[in-house]
Amino acid sequence: MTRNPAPSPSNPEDALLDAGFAALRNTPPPLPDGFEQRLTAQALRAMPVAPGPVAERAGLLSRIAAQLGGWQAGVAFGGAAMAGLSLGFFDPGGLISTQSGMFEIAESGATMSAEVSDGIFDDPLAQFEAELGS
Amino acid sequence: MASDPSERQADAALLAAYAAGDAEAARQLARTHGPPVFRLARRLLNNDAEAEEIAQEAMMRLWKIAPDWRAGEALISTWLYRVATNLCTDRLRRVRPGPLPEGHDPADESPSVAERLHTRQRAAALEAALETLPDRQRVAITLRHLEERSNPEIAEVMDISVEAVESLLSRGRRALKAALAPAAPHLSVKDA
Repeated sequence: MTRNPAPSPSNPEDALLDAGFAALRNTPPPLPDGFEQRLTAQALRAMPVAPGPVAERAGLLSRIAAQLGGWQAGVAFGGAAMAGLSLGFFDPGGLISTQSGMFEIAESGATMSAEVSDGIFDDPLAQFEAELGS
Repeated sequence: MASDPSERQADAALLAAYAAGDAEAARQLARTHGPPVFRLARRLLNNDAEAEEIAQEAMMRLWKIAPDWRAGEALISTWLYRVATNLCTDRLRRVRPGPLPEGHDPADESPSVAERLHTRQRAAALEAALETLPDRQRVAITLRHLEERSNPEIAEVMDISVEAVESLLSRGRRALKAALAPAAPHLSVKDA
């Protein structure tokens, strides 16, 4: 609601009166202590529907999401679900070929090269002692 | 009416939210509308305890009507002013031995007003002068000059025509000027 100040006075009597009004406007009666709290409490008591459900219903999903780990967990769940779906949807031929490749390697009896095996089974302590001895 | 329709729609939406159980709407309504109603009642009754009773009663009526509030029909502030004004007028009529006539001129019958002006307490003196006015003039003057409401809104609050409001304001101002006149020489407007 917009305020509608009265027009400016045109004579001394009106000026005096309007100065009085201005003085009263500038010193509004102070609110009693706890006035707004009492009014709010009254409003909540008189509410036709139990207070609070609108805000709390809105927060229910948020609370559940928070229990599950927040939005990061939601993204992870979503990603995992998509991965599961894609595994179920696509042709598993690639997986089979990978698996068969592994079996083929095992069956071929391939061994590590002598160079590699030497590297792995070298005794570093023996080398150290040999260097000390020399 | 000076208010725009969107203001009325916003009021209606807030009351609908309150009626649906929105606690924040309750807080907002109490915070926004309680203090002005208290101020108006306090100015009309000059009593803190009575003014709070009036404010509580007016707001209680608002809570009760909330589910049936018709969108766009009225502003909450105007509606509350109307309820509070009626409650105050009833109380003033009970307290006073008899209502003063509308044309009553208190100029020569209020020495206390002059005494107060001599102490240069302009606001207090005007308050005292306001108390000598007939109820309807006092309500109109308070709404116009202290709460700064428009004449059409005052007409809606008091359930009278705009012309009747103008007449009340004119007679009220005349009576107040007469009441303040004896002490006017002691009170420079420059001091205001």
